[in-house]
Amino acid sequence: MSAVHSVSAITTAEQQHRIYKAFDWIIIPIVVLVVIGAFHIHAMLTIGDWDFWIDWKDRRWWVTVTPISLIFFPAALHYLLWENFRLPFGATLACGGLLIGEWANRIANFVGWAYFPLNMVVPGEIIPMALCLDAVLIISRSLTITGVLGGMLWGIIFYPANWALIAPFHVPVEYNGVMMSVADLIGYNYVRTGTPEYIRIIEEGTLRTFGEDVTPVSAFFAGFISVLAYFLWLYIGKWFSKTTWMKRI
Amino acid sequence: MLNFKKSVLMLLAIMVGCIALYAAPAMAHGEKSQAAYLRMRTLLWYDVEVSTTKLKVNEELVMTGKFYWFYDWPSNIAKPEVAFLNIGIPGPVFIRKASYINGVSGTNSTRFDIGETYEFKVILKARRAARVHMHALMNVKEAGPLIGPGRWVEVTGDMADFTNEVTTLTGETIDLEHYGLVNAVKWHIFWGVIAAAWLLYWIFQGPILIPRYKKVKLLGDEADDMITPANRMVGLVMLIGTIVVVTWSYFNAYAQYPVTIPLQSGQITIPALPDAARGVNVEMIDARYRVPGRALEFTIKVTNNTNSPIKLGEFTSANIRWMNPEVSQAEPADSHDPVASNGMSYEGGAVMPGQTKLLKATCTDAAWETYRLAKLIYDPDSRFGGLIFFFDEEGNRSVVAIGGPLLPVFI
Ligand SMILES: [Cu+2]
Repeated sequence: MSAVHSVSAITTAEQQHRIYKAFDWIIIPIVVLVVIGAFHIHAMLTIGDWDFWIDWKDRRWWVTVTPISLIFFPAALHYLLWENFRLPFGATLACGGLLIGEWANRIANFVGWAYFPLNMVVPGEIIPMALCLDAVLIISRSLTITGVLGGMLWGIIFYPANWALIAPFHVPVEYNGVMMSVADLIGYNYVRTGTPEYIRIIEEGTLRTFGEDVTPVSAFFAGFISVLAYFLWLYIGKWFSKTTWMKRI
Repeated sequence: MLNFKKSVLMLLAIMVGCIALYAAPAMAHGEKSQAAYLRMRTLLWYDVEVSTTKLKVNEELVMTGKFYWFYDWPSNIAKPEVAFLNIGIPGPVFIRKASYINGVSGTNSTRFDIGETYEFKVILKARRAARVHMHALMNVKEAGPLIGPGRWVEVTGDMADFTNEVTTLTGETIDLEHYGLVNAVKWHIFWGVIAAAWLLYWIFQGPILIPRYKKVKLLGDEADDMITPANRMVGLVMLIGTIVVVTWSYFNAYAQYPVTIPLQSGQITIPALPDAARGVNVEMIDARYRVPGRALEFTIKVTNNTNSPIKLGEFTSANIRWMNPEVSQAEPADSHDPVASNGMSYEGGAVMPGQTKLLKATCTDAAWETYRLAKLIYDPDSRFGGLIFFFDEEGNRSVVAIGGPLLPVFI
């Protein structure tokens, strides 16, 4: 009788395959949900209004804050998934999950609850930068190279990837004798009781109104800091993904 | 362990309780929640009117009025160096078509002077059916919202009929309700599909977790060999593809929208209105709040430098009005408009041109309690403030700010 206890219930390779597959289907959705929740809270706390409103998406602050703040989860997931599984999709998983959470929030709360027009609250496009970060990882097979090259690319590509979405909102309008962008006008038209105009942290007006040189500087700065942030969060990911508990599997 | 769980539950219960407590005054739009001395000594609104209280979607409503920045501004409240004239409504029930302060467009934030009066006008266009308590509102940077008088307004009709069309400087007429949305959603779908494909490419090689984990530990330093040349080729295609599409979309957007401007910010200063006192000087002699009678009693020394006799017709503070019906009449505009039509009386009669005279006024109403102004005497700074209105025989009005320490009388 005692022999029975030491024999595993899994007897065939096929059975084992089925159980491993079941493990995938249980763990992956849980990880995705946790990432959506945690990453979403992180994004709302650190980027918040910059990503909520079309009239906050400026050439200096939004461009800088978003990539730097958002590289945290992709870096941590890169460490976890690469070091333990050699899986290179941490950034896309994190950013895709974040976007699912953001779209749900914008549609349910901003539009469904508060009736803001959806075009005013479309989330920023963050998939292209995630794809680049993952791609550099699988090509280089090195977290260090991914941090340096991928992190830089991540920061630089954010603004160009979003310009196709926000350019229409930067067309000028004359309104009550003042020149505004369409985005400014939307922000003025659609009354936000709790978010007055002056709360916006955006690039200050300059004499070079039609100039374009602010963006590249901001994008390179964002890339540079993203590289540093990537390594910082790699270490935090390392700390979180200690696998001593898995030794027995 | 059980104790830990219990304490977490307790903490949660306390948090929920606190949120419920704090949410209650928030439901009242802050009309009564701010400390009495703040409401009486910051921004004093008067003459606030709405052009209509019942309208259909796409129809317009005009809100007008005046506000005075109280001369004895509380030292713990930020001064209106940067402020924005706003409207207190739950979400964009209306869109703000235009707003003016002394005739200057209020699209930008503004600097105001303490002790000065300004008039405002806000033109709103109804967007969705709702019955709302709408407030004039001033946001002051670092101080917060200073709420003005409220009116119940009812919008009927269908939001689907609402349009918000403008013509851009490039000659295009657009509806801001939907402008740019299809394009943005299209891009989100495009990148979303690629992201999903990339994730599924890996997940369908599954099971991926346990077998790969075992393999990584088994291979040790050679674990990188688990990535096949085909995998890397997919990555390379994805990298180049992403950069190409982003670059193309960037230049394509520039070709489609060759004229763009950055977000506009900036601040303006608007000159104040001329002095509304029109030559009437008032000095506060004594002010007491009689707790049992719910009455403010104040004695003032009035000097009339106009050339017509004047009488005291109204005291207003914290959006509440005490009327002296013998001189000036007003009725509440709706169920939530605190106007004490009969609330004020005074001794001393008319002040003749050139005369200086003591007047003793009494302002009585339950509003002292219901609007929590009586709490002033328990505030850390129990000085009060308000505006008094004098009228001459032709109906000309002089508006004078008064204020000072307020002493309670308990018996
Ligand atoms: Cu209200």
